[in-house]
Amino acid sequence: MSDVLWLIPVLPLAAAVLVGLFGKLLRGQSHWPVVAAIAGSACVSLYAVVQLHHQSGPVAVLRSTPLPWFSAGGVNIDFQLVVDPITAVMLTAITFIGTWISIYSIGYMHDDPGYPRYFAVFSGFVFSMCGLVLTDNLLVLYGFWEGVGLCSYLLIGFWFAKPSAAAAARKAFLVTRLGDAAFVLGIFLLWNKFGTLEFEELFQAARAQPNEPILLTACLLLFCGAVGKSAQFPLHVWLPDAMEGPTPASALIHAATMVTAGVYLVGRTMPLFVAAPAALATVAVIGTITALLAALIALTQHDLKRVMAYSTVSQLGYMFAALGSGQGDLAAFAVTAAIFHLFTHAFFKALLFLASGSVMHAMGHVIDMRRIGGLRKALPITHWTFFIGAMALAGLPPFSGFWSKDEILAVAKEAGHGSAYHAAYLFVFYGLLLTALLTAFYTSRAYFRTFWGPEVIPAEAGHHGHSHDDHGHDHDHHASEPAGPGVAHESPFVMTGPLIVLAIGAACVGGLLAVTHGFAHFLGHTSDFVKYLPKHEHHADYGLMALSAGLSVVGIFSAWWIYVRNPKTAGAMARAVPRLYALSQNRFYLDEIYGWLAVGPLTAIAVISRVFDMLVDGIVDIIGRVPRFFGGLFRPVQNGLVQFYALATVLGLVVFIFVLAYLRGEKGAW
Amino acid sequence: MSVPLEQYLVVGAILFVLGAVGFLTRRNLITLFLCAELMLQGVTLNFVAFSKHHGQMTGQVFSLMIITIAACEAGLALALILVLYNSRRTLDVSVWQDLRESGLEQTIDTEPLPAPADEAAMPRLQEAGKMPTRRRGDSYV
Amino acid sequence: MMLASFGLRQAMIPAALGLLGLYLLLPRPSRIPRLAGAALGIVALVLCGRLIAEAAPATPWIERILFWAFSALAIVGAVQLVTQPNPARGAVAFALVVINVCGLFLLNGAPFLAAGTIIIYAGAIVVTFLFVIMLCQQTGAADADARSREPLLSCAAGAILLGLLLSLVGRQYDPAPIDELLAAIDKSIASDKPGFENFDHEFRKFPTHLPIKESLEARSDESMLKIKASKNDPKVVSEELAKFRAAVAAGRSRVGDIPPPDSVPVTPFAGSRTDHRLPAGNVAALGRLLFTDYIIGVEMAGTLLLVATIGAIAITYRSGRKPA
Repeated sequence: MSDVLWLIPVLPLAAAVLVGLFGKLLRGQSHWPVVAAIAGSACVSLYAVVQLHHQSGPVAVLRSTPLPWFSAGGVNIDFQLVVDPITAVMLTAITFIGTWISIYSIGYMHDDPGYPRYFAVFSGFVFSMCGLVLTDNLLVLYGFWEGVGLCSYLLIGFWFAKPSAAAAARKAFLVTRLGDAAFVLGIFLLWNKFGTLEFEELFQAARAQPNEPILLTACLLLFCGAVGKSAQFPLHVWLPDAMEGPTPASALIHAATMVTAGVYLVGRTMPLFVAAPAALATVAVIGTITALLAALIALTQHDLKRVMAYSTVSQLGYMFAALGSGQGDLAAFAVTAAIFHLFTHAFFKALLFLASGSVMHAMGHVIDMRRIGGLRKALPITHWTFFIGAMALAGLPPFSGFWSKDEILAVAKEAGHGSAYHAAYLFVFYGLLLTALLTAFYTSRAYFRTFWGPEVIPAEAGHHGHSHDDHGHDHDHHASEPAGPGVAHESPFVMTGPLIVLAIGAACVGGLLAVTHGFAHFLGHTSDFVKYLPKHEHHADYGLMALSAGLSVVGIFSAWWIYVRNPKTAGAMARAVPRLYALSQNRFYLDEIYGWLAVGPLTAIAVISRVFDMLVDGIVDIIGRVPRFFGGLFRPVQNGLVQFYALATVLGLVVFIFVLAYLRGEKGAW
Repeated sequence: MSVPLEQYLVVGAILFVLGAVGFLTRRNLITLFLCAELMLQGVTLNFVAFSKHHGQMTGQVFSLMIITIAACEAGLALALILVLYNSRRTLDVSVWQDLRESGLEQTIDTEPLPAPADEAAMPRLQEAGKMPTRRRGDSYV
Repeated sequence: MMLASFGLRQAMIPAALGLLGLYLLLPRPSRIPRLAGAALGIVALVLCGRLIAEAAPATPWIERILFWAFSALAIVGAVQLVTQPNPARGAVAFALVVINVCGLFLLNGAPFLAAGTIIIYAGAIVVTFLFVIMLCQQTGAADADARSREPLLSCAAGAILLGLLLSLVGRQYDPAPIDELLAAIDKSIASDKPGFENFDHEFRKFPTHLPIKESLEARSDESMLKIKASKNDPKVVSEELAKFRAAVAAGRSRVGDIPPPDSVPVTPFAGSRTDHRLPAGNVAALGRLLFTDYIIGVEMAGTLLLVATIGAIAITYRSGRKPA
């Protein structure tokens, strides 16, 4: 059985190589190997879940035979695929959602000149992501971690001819690099301290010596890596820009899977964090700040995809807050809550992105909510699926977001009890509550502004409405089309089909797993949980559930009241607090501050270096000119005339004979 | 007694130097090669004189080898001269100065020639099957 | 029969004069009276002849006349070749040089070589050259023939080279030290108390390029031993002195010779090492030597000729294209 696991990463890899090499031949058929490979991976993943479920005993785990990667000195790094329940959950999310998004991409990317390239990179991403969650070794994990970063870079910059896309790709790469550098340092530190990078051995070593300052440092460094990859404050700035990539890629990478790699990393190394409580508190506070900040920014954004991006950042902050709350015997519960939210979030956020993509597709790539509105008639399927996703995100029962968010709130509420970081956790809990309210509000705002109110369809939509084939991504090309009310058409079935499937998932999966406690039971068999994380009996907190549901309803209702019932209120409110509005609208000026603090000085240093380099170059050039000058003196000698050269030969002969005969003295044997 | 060795050596040296100066100054490819042959004559004379002086035949053997090499050289040189002439229509060696340092000016004769003196002094080939006619001023060298 | 001794300074005068004459004779756009150049050249030749003329002629007069005539004609021909603007006339002048050099070959006991050179050079090579000239220069002397490349510099280089070569010959074959030694020996014999003491230091100071120095030293040491053994018997002394004088007088004709090192293998076919006479029967001796000691050289020369023939054809062969 265990070696079937190899199929999970190898199938997408093979598809990526195949499409990458023969993309020119496959052209419009490039999606077949990719969809088939990811679907195959999904099947194997589900099979692994079933196998794990049927394993008896407290620990459920599947291991493949290890393949040696390299061995240097005492270090032996092996590729070994290990599937325990956490990995299985991640794999299921990645491959299942990946399958549907790849099907959706067939319609969305149709006729794009980079069609094979898109699918090759997409498949490569799935391979890297699967590898990332399948390994039991921090170093191998880091390798795949960079692999997903590379694929993310390639997909953000997919339309690299567009300057904004290229800039966004570069920004994403550089900002995540900051975190990755810290991550590498953390890995080095752990290696230096414990001499191993196997999770199992690391955990044992950490349990033997808790509260080590080095362990705290290492955990914080690992968290820095997670902060970069999962777009947490203060490195969250790349994710909203990453929406320059194709929408399905954003849905998979920047909403459902890759950005959750940080959550997975912290969840996976939870036994280390548990041994360093201060690190956990940091995680919780950073997560809460991110959740709150992103939610505040999302309130005023006009770009539908940007709202979704900030909500992703906010929800990731939620997950980190949950993980950070895993103090003491709450650890297993916290990881469960975070992974559960990760799982449900993957469904509804992928759904929301795909629905946004469908809106974009119908609107001729116009996604500004000021230019669209009242689309519920024109795009019925998109409308209903978006509605389900939005309600799940808003945390309205019984949609799946409610259940996972409720668990996180429960963890956060309990974390403060008897902890040394009581005040911090108090902030975390109330911050998360406020975020829940804001989330419900801005999600509903986006939903109502897009689908309710008077029908507004931009001029571009008409053009695209007539021909689904021609939804080229060159915005400017179509901007010159005659203005006028466009006609919106629902997207083709290849796009709405995945929407429906994901909508069902977003609606049901949370409730199903939460009510039956199936998720918690399944995760409970993870070896980390069983061996290193203390058990905690959790009882459903109905009061908290009611509070959460109430906040959600209040948020939704106020959004409805402001944007549907009295559409003028919104503008009045914005004008009432212009400073605050501008602050949120401009994303708290964080990009500008970074520009001032980091980009500006770096540019100055670069200019200085350039001047210095020119100086050094000048000196080197001058040194190079000296032999050139002396060579130039003798250049006329080489005048191409054979007889001139012969003359030189004769003169040389004269000198030679003279020296030989008259300057060598009488000693020679004449 | 016979003529001392030194006198032959001096004659050989004079022939060699005359050949060398001719090689350096003359511009006609054929004259150049004749001058090279002249230098060879000077050297050969030395060999033969030494051969006599020492009473050893080896010098004559060397001379024979020199003649052989000179014959080879002449054959190849004439073939090359023909090829060169066919590509530029002139025997002037100074035409071939393309392999000079880049950026250098071509060496061109500026001094004007006086009016041609004895132009008709060249031997001519008559077409086959025709009676050679002697024009006024023709020379048979 | 030896030359008078002369050094670099003496050698430079005729060389410089001769090359100056040549400089005046070289073809150029602006005419210089050719007569002046010719006169200078003749003066230089005469000076050079005086320089190398035998101090005390011992050669038969017929041979001397032939040598001077051949040499002068060869040099005149060579000058004509170098200075003649017309390449066709130059080729004929070269034929003249070849014929005269062959005369010199005959004087040196190389009749086969003389015949071969005339046949190959004057007969074949010069004729081929003339053919090429007729092919290429049917319109007469070209512009370039009336010009010279760097005449002054070339002639200066030639003058220095010639002066150097002449002075080297003069130095290498300088008989003065030996003549002085002979005079000292004669003086010692004529004196009332003959002995080696009066001139012993003379030849021991000989420059090393006189190869007889070592043999004379050996000879002298042997005589001294004998004289010492006979307790300065005057008869023995005069006998030894006479022997020594004969050795010195014999060595005088070999001044400047460089004996081949012992490592050079001795072959009987090339001629005797000691009596300095060419073997009788020139053609037979040359053939014997060529097909024994130098067989590899002969084979290689034959191969080279073949390759050159093929190469010449390959260079000029143009398929399907008419000569322009």
